[in-house]
Amino acid sequence: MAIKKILVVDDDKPISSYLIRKFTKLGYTVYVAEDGEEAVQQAFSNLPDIILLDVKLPRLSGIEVCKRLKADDKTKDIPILMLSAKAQSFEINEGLEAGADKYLCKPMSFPAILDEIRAYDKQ
Amino acid sequence: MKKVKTDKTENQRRLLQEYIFNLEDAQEKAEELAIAHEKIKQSQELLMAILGCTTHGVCLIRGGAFAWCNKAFTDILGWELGEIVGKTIEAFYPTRRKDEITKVICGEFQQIRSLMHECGLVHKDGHRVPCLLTGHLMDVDDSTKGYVLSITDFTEHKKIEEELVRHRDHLEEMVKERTAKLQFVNDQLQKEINERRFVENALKESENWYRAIFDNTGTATVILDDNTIILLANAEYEKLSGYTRGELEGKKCWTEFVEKEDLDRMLNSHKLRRHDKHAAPKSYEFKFRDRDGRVKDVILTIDVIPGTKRSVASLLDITERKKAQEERQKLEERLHRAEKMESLGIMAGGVAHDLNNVLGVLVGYSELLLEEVQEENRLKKYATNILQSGQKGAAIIQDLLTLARRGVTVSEVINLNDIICKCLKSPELERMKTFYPGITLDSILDQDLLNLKGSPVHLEKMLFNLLSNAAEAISDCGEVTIRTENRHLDKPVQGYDHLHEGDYAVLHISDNGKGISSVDIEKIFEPFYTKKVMGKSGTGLGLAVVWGTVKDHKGYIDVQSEEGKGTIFSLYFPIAREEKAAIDLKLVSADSYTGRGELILVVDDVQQQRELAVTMLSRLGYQVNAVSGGEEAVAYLKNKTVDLIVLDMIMDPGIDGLETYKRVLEINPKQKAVIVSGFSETKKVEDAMKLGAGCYIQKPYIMEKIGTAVRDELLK
Repeated sequence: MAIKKILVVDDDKPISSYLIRKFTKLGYTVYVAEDGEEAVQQAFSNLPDIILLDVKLPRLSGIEVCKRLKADDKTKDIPILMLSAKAQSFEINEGLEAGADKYLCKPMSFPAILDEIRAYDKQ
Repeated sequence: MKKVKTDKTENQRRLLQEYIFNLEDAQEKAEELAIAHEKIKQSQELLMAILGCTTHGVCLIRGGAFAWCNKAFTDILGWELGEIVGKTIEAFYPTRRKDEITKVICGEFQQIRSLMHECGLVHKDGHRVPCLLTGHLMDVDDSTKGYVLSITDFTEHKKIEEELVRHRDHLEEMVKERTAKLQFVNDQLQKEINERRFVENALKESENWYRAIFDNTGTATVILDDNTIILLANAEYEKLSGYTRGELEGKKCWTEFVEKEDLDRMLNSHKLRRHDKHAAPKSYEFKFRDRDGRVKDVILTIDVIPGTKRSVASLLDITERKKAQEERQKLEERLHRAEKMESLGIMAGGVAHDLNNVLGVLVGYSELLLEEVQEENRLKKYATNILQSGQKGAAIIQDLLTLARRGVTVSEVINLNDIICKCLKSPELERMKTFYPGITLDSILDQDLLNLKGSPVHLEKMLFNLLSNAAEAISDCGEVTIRTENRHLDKPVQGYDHLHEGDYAVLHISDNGKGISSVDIEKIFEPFYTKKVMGKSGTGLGLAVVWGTVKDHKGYIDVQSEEGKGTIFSLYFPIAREEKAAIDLKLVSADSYTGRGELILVVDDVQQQRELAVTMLSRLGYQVNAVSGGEEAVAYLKNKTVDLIVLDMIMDPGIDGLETYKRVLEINPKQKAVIVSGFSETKKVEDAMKLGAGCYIQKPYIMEKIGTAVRDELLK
């Protein structure tokens, strides 16, 4: 399926705002959540085609958000790309075990992120 | 320790991420800026290009003075760019009052964002350039940014406008002119239409007139096409031909109505006429055959209708007219014949008197001579011949007088049968029979034959003449038949004569002789027309006398004759219903007319006559005196009386017999008289007899006649 709606979850505002601007410019519909709870809410209410999820989040961590969404039938098929500054292998494993479809380590250029998302475009 | 390091790395990663993103953003913006610059530059170039090539002058006014202007602006006003920049609007727009333009441009009315105005701007050479001025505030919020002003040179536009006005005026003029012309043409057309309508009406009326004339000429009229077909026919032609118009028009050719004998001649005329109007006769007769095959005589009048190959023909049926004409011609011929006979008769009558006097002397003296001469004397034969010739001459004169029809009284009621019987027994007929020994004479008499009024003497003469004629017609042997019958004609019959209706006693005398040719038959009744050998019996007056007698009896004659077979004369006498008088047949003896010495005065102007009468009467035993005229007689009788006067009726000079007798009667009212005349009985004789004169004796007379007359009168 083609990706049209993207949920960006990050509590770091300069990062989320840059991503929103860039995706919007490319024609995607972008939703934003600044904490884990909001992310879960947005995911259920908007059912985005893909989720770009930070791990370290206030109220509810990215790992927990991933688990919840993958646990629910309604959201379990939504690809979740984790984007985190946590780059150690156990942290990566924890993320993948929680159900994330890809684990990306910061820092990443926007074109690299875009490539990752487009990789799901054809699936 | 490791944890701290981890955190530090994690933190570093986060910061690094932010840094990357910032860098990416800055790079992107720089690219965009460069593009924007390029676009501005392109826009500026485009703008300048546009401003450079437009014919509209564009300038920027800032702070009340010109900051910039394009080439068109300098071209319109004639100033260089350098001369314009820095100048105020008043330099080009001199006006005493501060109008909207000045105010706006000078920034006094900053609320007015844009304007549009027509005005005259001053050219560098001083003349005014008509311009349309449009202005626009550069920035609504900041008037200091200036005012963009655009001017459009109206010079050409004005010129074009003026030209247009001129053209429009010219066009209007042309339209006006054209409209006037059209109106004129329209009026002309209307006039023509009216005229044409008038002409059409006149034509229609004319057509009606001619149609009415054509239908009511009273003559059969047709219009004929070049190919002989009848195009139009009127009611008269329908009557003439027996065909209806429907059967004629466009279907029949005129040639079908023409008799064969006339057709070639008429067809030739038909052709000629179309070649030259005057080459063929305009009017001629021909024989017309109608539907029932009846042939009519028709006068055709024909002429070609001018400008066409058609002709109009009128046909006048003259069949009846022709018949009437023939009838009239016949009548005229008959009248002519009658007149001819009458005039001859009158002429004969005129000479009869004198001739009779001459013959009277001849007859009288030859008779006296016969008495004197001895029987054996050869002079006796001479005297007899003279007497007979005189008597024959007298007969001719008598015939002529009969023709003059002056002596015939037809008042006696008689029967033709009696006349015939008397004639058959007469010595004249016996004598005639000796001339024609080969002829048998038969009579078939109707015993019930009706009477007629007439003169027996004349009828006898007539009969004798006819018999004599019939006998003459037979050369050797033959038969002559006398037949009588009653005949009633209930309508007029056209025979030789025109027989009127009525009851007739008819006498037919027929012979089987040589007949009369059709040429001769027309003339047989004319006096002196004869085919006989003169001297045998003919006077040339025989049939003329017959004609006269029949006419005197108001009868008619029919003659039918065929050459070599014979002739029948049929005489029609109108019947009389009265009874006939008893026939007094008295025998006359010589003693009965001898005188006994009575006194007689002879009055005659002719000496020989006078002497003859004196001699005869003296011999008969009368005492006779004679005078030569009326006056003498009157004078004589004044002194002497006589028993009787023998009075000649016509005397010249002096008074005539009638006047003499009148005067004598004044002297002696009972004076007896015998009238003697060489002329047939005339009015004068009649008058004299009314006055008391006795009988009338026709000259020439023989002794017996005058003796008997004198005796009879004396015995009265």
